[in-house]
Amino acid sequence: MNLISQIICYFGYNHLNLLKTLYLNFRCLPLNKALYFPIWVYGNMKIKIGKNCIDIQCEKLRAGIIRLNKTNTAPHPNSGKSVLIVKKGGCIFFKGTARIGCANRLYVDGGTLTLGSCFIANNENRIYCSGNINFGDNVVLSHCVTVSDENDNRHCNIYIGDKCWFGNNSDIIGEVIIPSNTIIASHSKILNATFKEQCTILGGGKEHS
Amino acid sequence: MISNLIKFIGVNHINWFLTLYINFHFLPFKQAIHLPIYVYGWMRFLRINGNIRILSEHIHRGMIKMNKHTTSACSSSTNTEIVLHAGGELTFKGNAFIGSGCKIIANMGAIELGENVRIFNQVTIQSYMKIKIGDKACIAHRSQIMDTNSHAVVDLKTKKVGRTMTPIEIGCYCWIANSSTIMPGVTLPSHTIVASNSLVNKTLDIPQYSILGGIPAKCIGKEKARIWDSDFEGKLHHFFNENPEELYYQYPDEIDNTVIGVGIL
Repeated sequence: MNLISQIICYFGYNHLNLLKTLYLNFRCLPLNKALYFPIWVYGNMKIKIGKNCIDIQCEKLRAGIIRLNKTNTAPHPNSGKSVLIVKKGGCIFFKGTARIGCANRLYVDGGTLTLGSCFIANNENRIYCSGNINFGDNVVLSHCVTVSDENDNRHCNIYIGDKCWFGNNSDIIGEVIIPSNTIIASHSKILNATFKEQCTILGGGKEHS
Repeated sequence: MISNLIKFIGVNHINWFLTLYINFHFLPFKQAIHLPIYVYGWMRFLRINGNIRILSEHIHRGMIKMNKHTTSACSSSTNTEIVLHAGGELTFKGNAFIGSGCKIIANMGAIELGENVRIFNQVTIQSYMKIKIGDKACIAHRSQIMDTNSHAVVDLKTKKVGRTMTPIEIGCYCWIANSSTIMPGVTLPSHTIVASNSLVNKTLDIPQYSILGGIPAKCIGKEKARIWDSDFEGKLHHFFNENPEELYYQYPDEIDNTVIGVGIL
Protein backbone atom coordinates (compact mmCIF):
# COMPACT_ATOMS: atom_id res chain seq x y z
CA MET A 1 0.00 0.00 0.00
CA ASN A 2 2.86 2.35 0.82
CA LEU A 3 4.41 1.84 -2.60
CA ILE A 4 1.10 2.57 -4.35
CA SER A 5 0.62 5.79 -2.36
CA GLN A 6 4.14 6.86 -3.32
CA ILE A 7 3.39 6.16 -6.97
CA ILE A 8 0.13 8.14 -6.75
CA CYS A 9 1.96 11.06 -5.12
CA TYR A 10 4.63 10.84 -7.84
CA PHE A 11 1.98 11.45 -10.52
CA GLY A 12 0.60 14.40 -8.53
CA TYR A 13 3.76 16.44 -9.02
CA ASN A 14 5.28 18.19 -12.01
CA HIS A 15 8.67 16.76 -12.88
CA LEU A 16 11.74 18.18 -14.52
CA ASN A 17 11.19 18.79 -18.21
CA LEU A 18 14.63 18.22 -19.73
CA LEU A 19 13.75 19.40 -23.24
CA LYS A 20 12.36 22.75 -22.14
CA THR A 21 15.17 23.21 -19.61
CA LEU A 22 17.75 22.71 -22.37
CA TYR A 23 15.85 25.00 -24.75
CA LEU A 24 15.36 27.82 -22.23
CA ASN A 25 18.94 27.81 -20.91
CA PHE A 26 20.63 27.81 -24.30
CA ARG A 27 18.13 30.16 -25.91
CA CYS A 28 18.18 32.97 -23.41
CA LEU A 29 21.51 32.80 -21.57
CA PRO A 30 25.07 33.29 -22.83
CA LEU A 31 26.86 29.96 -23.38
CA ASN A 32 29.23 30.21 -20.40
CA LYS A 33 26.25 30.67 -18.05
CA ALA A 34 23.92 28.22 -19.81
CA LEU A 35 26.36 25.36 -19.24
CA TYR A 36 25.63 25.53 -15.50
CA PHE A 37 21.90 24.88 -16.18
CA PRO A 38 20.76 27.53 -13.67
CA ILE A 39 17.12 27.45 -14.87
CA TRP A 40 15.05 24.31 -14.37
CA VAL A 41 11.64 24.01 -15.99
CA TYR A 42 9.09 21.62 -14.49
CA GLY A 43 6.11 20.15 -16.30
CA ASN A 44 4.64 21.49 -19.49
CA MET A 45 5.28 25.22 -19.38
CA LYS A 46 4.56 27.67 -22.17
CA ILE A 47 7.63 29.63 -23.21
CA LYS A 48 7.83 32.34 -25.87
CA ILE A 49 11.12 34.06 -25.54
CA GLY A 50 13.72 35.94 -27.61
CA LYS A 51 17.47 35.39 -27.68
CA ASN A 52 19.62 36.54 -24.74
CA CYS A 53 16.75 38.19 -22.91
CA ILE A 54 17.41 36.70 -19.47
CA ASP A 55 20.45 37.53 -17.37
CA ILE A 56 21.48 36.09 -14.04
CA GLN A 57 23.66 38.35 -11.93
CA CYS A 58 24.65 36.41 -8.85
CA GLU A 59 27.96 35.57 -7.22
CA LYS A 60 27.79 31.81 -7.36
CA LEU A 61 26.07 30.33 -10.38
CA ARG A 62 24.91 26.76 -9.89
CA ALA A 63 22.38 24.33 -11.29
CA GLY A 64 18.71 24.80 -10.44
CA ILE A 65 18.84 28.17 -8.70
CA ILE A 66 15.78 29.25 -10.70
CA ARG A 67 12.87 26.81 -10.78
CA LEU A 68 9.83 27.52 -12.89
CA ASN A 69 6.38 25.86 -12.81
CA LYS A 70 7.16 23.70 -9.79
CA THR A 71 4.32 22.03 -7.87
CA ASN A 72 3.90 23.23 -4.28
CA THR A 73 1.48 22.74 -1.41
CA ALA A 74 0.44 26.41 -1.22
CA PRO A 75 -3.29 26.96 -0.75
CA HIS A 76 -4.15 27.34 -4.40
CA PRO A 77 -4.54 24.68 -7.11
CA ASN A 78 -1.40 23.83 -9.05
CA SER A 79 -3.30 22.95 -12.17
CA GLY A 80 -2.60 25.05 -15.20
CA LYS A 81 0.73 25.78 -16.76
CA SER A 82 2.91 28.80 -16.21
CA VAL A 83 3.49 31.15 -19.14
CA LEU A 84 6.72 33.05 -19.74
CA ILE A 85 6.56 35.55 -22.60
CA VAL A 86 9.31 38.05 -23.29
CA LYS A 87 9.03 40.15 -26.43
CA LYS A 88 9.94 43.47 -28.08
CA GLY A 89 13.41 43.56 -26.53
CA GLY A 90 12.19 43.06 -22.98
CA CYS A 91 14.50 41.45 -20.45
CA ILE A 92 14.43 39.70 -17.09
CA PHE A 93 17.25 40.00 -14.54
CA PHE A 94 17.57 37.43 -11.78
CA LYS A 95 19.78 38.40 -8.84
CA GLY A 96 19.78 35.02 -7.13
CA THR A 97 17.51 32.09 -6.43
CA ALA A 98 13.88 32.19 -7.55
CA ARG A 99 11.03 29.72 -7.10
CA ILE A 100 8.06 30.31 -9.35
CA GLY A 101 5.04 28.04 -8.98
CA CYS A 102 2.36 26.84 -11.36
CA ALA A 103 -0.13 28.82 -13.45
CA ASN A 104 1.92 32.02 -13.19
CA ARG A 105 2.05 34.52 -16.01
CA LEU A 106 5.26 36.47 -16.54
CA TYR A 107 4.62 38.77 -19.46
CA VAL A 108 7.42 41.19 -20.33
CA ASP A 109 6.43 43.42 -23.22
CA GLY A 110 9.47 45.58 -23.91
CA GLY A 111 10.16 46.38 -20.26
CA THR A 112 12.70 45.35 -17.67
CA LEU A 113 11.76 42.99 -14.87
CA THR A 114 14.27 42.58 -12.03
CA LEU A 115 13.77 39.83 -9.46
CA GLY A 116 15.91 39.95 -6.30
CA SER A 117 17.45 36.91 -4.67
CA CYS A 118 15.23 34.40 -2.81
CA PHE A 119 12.18 35.46 -4.83
CA ILE A 120 9.19 33.18 -4.21
CA ALA A 121 5.97 33.26 -6.19
CA ASN A 122 3.28 30.67 -5.44
CA ASN A 123 0.52 29.82 -7.88
CA GLU A 124 -1.44 31.91 -10.37
CA ASN A 125 0.37 35.22 -10.00
CA ARG A 126 0.43 37.63 -12.92
CA ILE A 127 3.28 40.02 -13.61
CA TYR A 128 2.82 42.30 -16.63
CA CYS A 129 5.87 44.42 -17.32
CA SER A 130 6.09 47.04 -20.05
CA GLY A 131 8.08 49.67 -18.14
CA ASN A 132 10.23 48.86 -15.18
CA ILE A 133 9.47 46.51 -12.29
CA ASN A 134 12.06 46.02 -9.59
CA PHE A 135 11.58 43.43 -6.82
CA GLY A 136 14.00 43.48 -3.87
CA ASP A 137 15.45 40.45 -2.13
CA ASN A 138 13.34 37.92 -0.18
CA VAL A 139 10.02 38.98 -1.69
CA VAL A 140 7.17 36.47 -1.35
CA LEU A 141 4.06 36.57 -3.53
CA SER A 142 1.26 34.30 -2.37
CA HIS A 143 -1.38 33.27 -4.88
CA CYS A 144 -3.39 35.34 -7.41
CA VAL A 145 -1.30 38.50 -7.04
CA THR A 146 -1.30 40.92 -9.98
CA VAL A 147 1.63 43.28 -10.50
CA SER A 148 1.15 45.43 -13.58
CA ASP A 149 3.03 48.58 -14.50
CA GLU A 150 0.74 49.55 -17.34
CA ASN A 151 -1.96 52.05 -16.42
CA ASP A 152 -3.96 54.09 -18.95
CA ASN A 153 -1.52 52.92 -21.65
CA ARG A 154 1.36 54.57 -19.78
CA HIS A 155 4.48 52.59 -18.90
CA CYS A 156 5.18 53.17 -15.21
CA ASN A 157 7.88 52.13 -12.76
CA ILE A 158 7.22 49.83 -9.83
CA TYR A 159 9.78 49.58 -7.06
CA ILE A 160 9.30 46.96 -4.34
CA GLY A 161 11.80 46.79 -1.47
CA ASP A 162 13.32 43.82 0.35
CA LYS A 163 11.38 41.32 2.49
CA CYS A 164 7.94 42.30 1.27
CA TRP A 165 5.11 39.82 1.61
CA PHE A 166 2.08 40.07 -0.67
CA GLY A 167 -1.19 38.53 0.52
CA ASN A 168 -3.42 36.64 -1.85
CA ASN A 169 -5.51 38.39 -4.52
CA SER A 170 -3.73 41.74 -4.03
CA ASP A 171 -3.25 44.03 -7.02
CA ILE A 172 -0.35 46.46 -7.57
CA ILE A 173 -1.04 48.66 -10.58
CA GLY A 174 0.62 51.78 -11.98
CA GLU A 175 3.34 53.96 -10.48
CA VAL A 176 3.96 52.32 -7.09
CA ILE A 177 6.81 52.46 -4.59
CA ILE A 178 6.69 50.04 -1.66
CA PRO A 179 9.52 50.23 0.93
CA SER A 180 11.21 47.25 2.56
CA ASN A 181 9.59 44.99 5.18
CA THR A 182 6.05 45.80 4.07
CA ILE A 183 3.15 43.37 4.37
CA ILE A 184 0.33 43.79 1.87
CA ALA A 185 -2.91 42.34 3.18
CA SER A 186 -5.10 39.91 1.31
CA HIS A 187 -7.46 41.35 -1.36
CA SER A 188 -5.89 44.84 -1.21
CA LYS A 189 -5.63 47.09 -4.24
CA ILE A 190 -2.76 49.54 -4.59
CA LEU A 191 -3.07 51.96 -7.49
CA ASN A 192 -0.54 54.72 -8.25
CA ALA A 193 0.72 55.16 -4.69
CA THR A 194 4.06 55.92 -3.04
CA PHE A 195 4.75 54.78 0.52
CA LYS A 196 7.79 55.82 2.53
CA GLU A 197 7.55 54.21 5.97
CA GLN A 198 9.10 50.77 6.44
CA CYS A 199 7.68 47.84 8.50
CA THR A 200 4.03 48.63 7.83
CA ILE A 201 0.94 46.68 6.84
CA LEU A 202 -1.01 47.99 3.86
CA GLY A 203 -4.55 46.82 3.21
CA GLY A 204 -8.01 47.71 2.00
CA GLY A 205 -9.99 48.25 -1.12
CA LYS A 206 -8.08 51.21 -2.50
CA GLU A 207 -4.73 52.43 -1.21
CA HIS A 208 -3.57 55.87 -2.29
CA SER A 209 -0.58 57.77 -1.06
CA MET B 1 -25.17 9.59 -31.57
CA ILE B 2 -22.24 11.90 -32.41
CA SER B 3 -23.42 14.55 -29.96
CA ASN B 4 -23.61 11.86 -27.26
CA LEU B 5 -20.02 10.85 -28.08
CA ILE B 6 -18.86 14.47 -27.86
CA LYS B 7 -20.62 14.84 -24.52
CA PHE B 8 -19.02 11.60 -23.33
CA ILE B 9 -15.54 12.91 -24.10
CA GLY B 10 -16.24 16.34 -22.59
CA VAL B 11 -17.09 15.05 -19.12
CA ASN B 12 -14.70 13.21 -16.82
CA HIS B 13 -15.58 9.70 -15.75
CA ILE B 14 -15.04 7.51 -12.71
CA ASN B 15 -11.42 6.60 -12.21
CA TRP B 16 -11.82 3.07 -10.87
CA PHE B 17 -8.18 2.69 -9.90
CA LEU B 18 -8.16 5.78 -7.64
CA THR B 19 -11.70 5.01 -6.38
CA LEU B 20 -10.71 1.51 -5.24
CA TYR B 21 -7.43 2.75 -3.82
CA ILE B 22 -8.95 5.56 -1.75
CA ASN B 23 -11.83 3.50 -0.40
CA PHE B 24 -9.68 0.58 0.68
CA HIS B 25 -6.71 2.65 1.85
CA PHE B 26 -8.56 5.09 4.10
CA LEU B 27 -11.83 3.46 5.17
CA PRO B 28 -12.45 0.37 7.30
CA PHE B 29 -13.28 -2.69 5.21
CA LYS B 30 -16.97 -2.71 6.20
CA GLN B 31 -17.41 0.80 4.78
CA ALA B 32 -15.01 0.44 1.86
CA ILE B 33 -16.86 -2.55 0.40
CA HIS B 34 -19.82 -0.22 -0.38
CA LEU B 35 -17.49 2.10 -2.39
CA PRO B 36 -18.87 5.32 -0.84
CA ILE B 37 -16.23 7.59 -2.43
CA TYR B 38 -16.23 8.03 -6.19
CA VAL B 39 -13.24 9.75 -7.76
CA TYR B 40 -13.62 11.18 -11.24
CA GLY B 41 -10.79 11.86 -13.68
CA TRP B 42 -7.19 12.26 -12.63
CA MET B 43 -7.43 13.70 -9.14
CA ARG B 44 -3.99 14.58 -7.81
CA PHE B 45 -2.66 13.54 -4.43
CA LEU B 46 0.38 15.51 -3.27
CA ARG B 47 0.73 13.89 0.17
CA ILE B 48 -1.12 10.98 1.77
CA ASN B 49 -0.06 11.12 5.44
CA GLY B 50 -3.54 11.60 6.89
CA ASN B 51 -7.00 10.10 7.17
CA ILE B 52 -10.32 10.24 5.40
CA ARG B 53 -13.30 9.19 7.56
CA ILE B 54 -17.03 8.85 7.03
CA LEU B 55 -19.25 9.28 10.10
CA SER B 56 -22.60 8.17 8.77
CA GLU B 57 -24.84 5.21 9.41
CA HIS B 58 -26.26 5.03 5.90
CA ILE B 59 -23.37 4.30 3.64
CA HIS B 60 -24.13 3.73 -0.01
CA ARG B 61 -22.31 3.74 -3.32
CA GLY B 62 -21.10 7.06 -4.66
CA MET B 63 -22.36 9.17 -1.77
CA ILE B 64 -19.21 11.29 -1.96
CA LYS B 65 -18.17 12.52 -5.36
CA MET B 66 -14.79 14.14 -5.90
CA ASN B 67 -13.36 16.01 -8.90
CA LYS B 68 -16.59 15.75 -10.88
CA HIS B 69 -17.25 18.17 -13.72
CA THR B 70 -20.17 20.52 -13.16
CA THR B 71 -22.07 23.02 -15.24
CA SER B 72 -21.16 25.72 -12.69
CA ALA B 73 -20.05 29.14 -13.88
CA CYS B 74 -16.36 28.32 -13.56
CA SER B 75 -14.16 26.20 -15.83
CA SER B 76 -13.89 22.50 -14.90
CA SER B 77 -10.79 21.92 -16.98
CA THR B 78 -8.44 21.37 -14.04
CA ASN B 79 -8.14 18.59 -11.49
CA THR B 80 -8.69 18.63 -7.75
CA GLU B 81 -5.65 18.27 -5.51
CA ILE B 82 -5.66 16.73 -2.06
CA VAL B 83 -2.90 17.21 0.51
CA LEU B 84 -3.24 15.20 3.72
CA HIS B 85 -0.12 15.92 5.71
CA ALA B 86 1.06 15.19 9.27
CA GLY B 87 -2.11 13.39 10.33
CA GLY B 88 -4.55 15.80 8.70
CA GLU B 89 -8.13 14.54 8.72
CA LEU B 90 -10.95 14.90 6.22
CA THR B 91 -14.29 13.84 7.73
CA PHE B 92 -17.56 13.43 5.88
CA LYS B 93 -20.87 13.23 7.74
CA GLY B 94 -22.93 12.17 4.76
CA ASN B 95 -23.29 12.90 1.08
CA ALA B 96 -20.84 15.42 -0.32
CA PHE B 97 -19.89 16.85 -3.65
CA ILE B 98 -16.48 18.30 -4.49
CA GLY B 99 -16.04 19.85 -7.92
CA SER B 100 -12.94 19.99 -10.08
CA GLY B 101 -9.90 22.21 -9.63
CA CYS B 102 -10.25 22.41 -5.84
CA LYS B 103 -7.36 22.23 -3.42
CA ILE B 104 -8.05 20.63 -0.07
CA ILE B 105 -5.20 20.80 2.42
CA ALA B 106 -5.41 19.21 5.86
CA ASN B 107 -2.00 19.87 7.36
CA MET B 108 -2.18 18.68 11.00
CA GLY B 109 -5.75 20.05 11.11
CA ALA B 110 -9.18 18.60 10.54
CA ILE B 111 -11.81 19.40 7.94
CA GLU B 112 -15.34 18.33 8.79
CA LEU B 113 -17.97 18.45 6.06
CA GLY B 114 -21.63 18.10 7.05
CA GLU B 115 -24.33 16.30 5.18
CA ASN B 116 -25.01 17.31 1.57
CA VAL B 117 -22.23 19.90 1.43
CA ARG B 118 -21.56 21.09 -2.08
CA ILE B 119 -18.18 22.54 -3.00
CA PHE B 120 -17.89 23.82 -6.56
CA ASN B 121 -14.89 24.39 -8.82
CA GLN B 122 -11.51 25.85 -7.82
CA VAL B 123 -12.28 26.22 -4.13
CA THR B 124 -9.41 26.20 -1.63
CA ILE B 125 -9.84 24.79 1.87
CA GLN B 126 -6.73 24.90 4.02
CA SER B 127 -6.84 23.58 7.58
CA TYR B 128 -4.06 23.75 10.16
CA MET B 129 -6.52 23.51 13.11
CA LYS B 130 -10.19 22.85 12.42
CA ILE B 131 -12.68 23.84 9.76
CA LYS B 132 -16.26 22.76 10.29
CA ILE B 133 -18.78 23.22 7.50
CA GLY B 134 -22.42 22.66 8.41
CA ASP B 135 -25.08 20.59 6.66
CA LYS B 136 -26.17 21.60 3.17
CA ALA B 137 -23.73 24.49 2.94
CA CYS B 138 -22.90 25.59 -0.58
CA ILE B 139 -19.50 27.00 -1.46
CA ALA B 140 -19.32 28.57 -4.88
CA HIS B 141 -16.38 28.70 -7.26
CA ARG B 142 -13.00 30.27 -6.41
CA SER B 143 -13.79 30.77 -2.73
CA GLN B 144 -11.12 30.26 -0.12
CA ILE B 145 -11.55 29.01 3.44
CA MET B 146 -8.29 29.14 5.38
CA ASP B 147 -7.91 28.81 9.15
CA THR B 148 -4.31 30.00 9.07
CA ASN B 149 -2.39 33.06 7.92
CA SER B 150 0.46 30.73 6.82
CA HIS B 151 3.11 33.11 8.20
CA ALA B 152 3.42 35.00 11.47
CA VAL B 153 3.83 38.74 12.04
CA VAL B 154 5.72 40.24 14.99
CA ASP B 155 5.02 43.69 16.46
CA LEU B 156 8.43 45.37 16.62
CA LYS B 157 7.43 47.66 19.57
CA THR B 158 5.71 45.21 21.91
CA LYS B 159 7.59 42.13 20.60
CA LYS B 160 4.36 40.13 20.51
CA VAL B 161 3.51 37.63 17.79
CA GLY B 162 -0.16 37.43 16.87
CA ARG B 163 -2.03 34.16 16.71
CA THR B 164 -1.79 32.72 13.23
CA MET B 165 -4.44 30.03 13.34
CA THR B 166 -7.95 29.86 14.79
CA PRO B 167 -10.71 27.38 13.94
CA ILE B 168 -13.48 28.26 11.50
CA GLU B 169 -17.10 27.23 11.85
CA ILE B 170 -19.61 27.65 9.06
CA GLY B 171 -23.24 26.96 9.96
CA CYS B 172 -25.87 24.94 8.16
CA TYR B 173 -27.42 26.24 4.92
CA CYS B 174 -24.71 28.89 4.51
CA TRP B 175 -24.15 30.06 0.97
CA ILE B 176 -20.70 31.42 0.21
CA ALA B 177 -20.73 33.12 -3.17
CA ASN B 178 -17.89 33.10 -5.66
CA SER B 179 -14.36 34.43 -5.06
CA SER B 180 -14.93 35.20 -1.38
CA THR B 181 -12.39 34.50 1.33
CA ILE B 182 -13.07 33.30 4.87
CA MET B 183 -10.15 34.09 7.19
CA PRO B 184 -9.11 32.44 10.51
CA GLY B 185 -11.43 32.70 13.51
CA VAL B 186 -14.65 33.32 11.61
CA THR B 187 -17.92 31.81 12.82
CA LEU B 188 -20.90 32.14 10.52
CA PRO B 189 -24.37 31.42 11.93
CA SER B 190 -26.77 29.22 9.98
CA HIS B 191 -28.44 30.57 6.83
CA THR B 192 -25.79 33.26 6.29
CA ILE B 193 -25.14 34.47 2.76
CA VAL B 194 -21.65 35.78 1.95
CA ALA B 195 -21.74 38.03 -1.11
CA SER B 196 -19.47 37.55 -4.09
CA ASN B 197 -15.84 38.74 -3.82
CA SER B 198 -16.00 39.56 -0.11
CA LEU B 199 -13.40 39.04 2.59
CA VAL B 200 -14.73 37.88 5.97
CA ASN B 201 -11.89 38.47 8.43
CA LYS B 202 -13.60 38.35 11.82
CA THR B 203 -16.70 37.03 13.54
CA LEU B 204 -19.49 39.60 13.29
CA ASP B 205 -22.35 39.80 15.76
CA ILE B 206 -25.16 38.95 13.34
CA PRO B 207 -28.35 36.94 13.65
CA GLN B 208 -29.28 34.08 11.33
CA TYR B 209 -30.57 34.91 7.84
CA SER B 210 -28.18 37.83 7.18
CA ILE B 211 -26.04 38.82 4.21
CA LEU B 212 -22.35 39.73 4.57
CA GLY B 213 -20.34 41.51 1.90
CA GLY B 214 -17.43 43.80 1.10
CA ILE B 215 -13.70 43.97 1.82
CA PRO B 216 -13.61 43.59 4.85
CA ALA B 217 -17.13 42.18 5.17
CA LYS B 218 -19.99 44.02 6.86
CA CYS B 219 -23.61 43.08 7.40
CA ILE B 220 -25.43 44.34 4.29
CA GLY B 221 -28.81 42.70 4.76
CA LYS B 222 -30.95 41.07 7.39
CA GLU B 223 -33.83 38.61 7.34
CA LYS B 224 -33.01 37.32 3.90
CA ALA B 225 -32.82 33.64 3.04
CA ARG B 226 -31.70 31.74 0.00
CA ILE B 227 -34.29 29.58 -1.75
CA TRP B 228 -32.96 26.03 -1.72
CA ASP B 229 -35.92 24.33 -3.42
CA SER B 230 -34.73 23.68 -6.99
CA ASP B 231 -38.27 23.15 -8.36
CA PHE B 232 -39.34 26.51 -7.01
CA GLU B 233 -36.17 28.10 -8.44
CA GLY B 234 -37.17 26.69 -11.84
CA LYS B 235 -40.61 28.26 -11.51
CA LEU B 236 -39.03 31.60 -10.64
CA HIS B 237 -36.81 31.44 -13.76
CA HIS B 238 -39.90 30.88 -15.88
CA PHE B 239 -41.76 33.69 -14.14
CA PHE B 240 -38.98 36.26 -14.67
CA ASN B 241 -38.44 35.13 -18.27
CA GLU B 242 -42.10 35.52 -19.09
CA ASN B 243 -42.47 38.86 -17.27
CA PRO B 244 -39.38 40.88 -18.22
CA GLU B 245 -40.67 44.08 -16.59
CA GLU B 246 -41.52 42.51 -13.24
CA LEU B 247 -38.97 43.28 -10.50
CA TYR B 248 -40.38 41.07 -7.76
CA TYR B 249 -42.23 37.84 -7.34
CA GLN B 250 -44.76 38.27 -4.54
CA TYR B 251 -45.07 35.15 -2.45
CA PRO B 252 -48.83 34.53 -2.17
CA ASP B 253 -49.02 33.01 1.30
CA GLU B 254 -46.82 32.00 4.24
CA ILE B 255 -43.32 30.91 3.16
CA ASP B 256 -42.99 27.17 3.38
CA ASN B 257 -40.04 26.04 5.52
CA THR B 258 -38.91 23.56 2.89
CA VAL B 259 -38.43 26.37 0.33
CA ILE B 260 -35.78 28.06 2.45
CA GLY B 261 -34.29 24.74 3.40
CA VAL B 262 -35.44 24.29 6.98
CA GLY B 263 -35.90 20.65 7.85
CA ILE B 264 -34.80 19.10 4.56
CA LEU B 265 -31.41 17.71 3.72
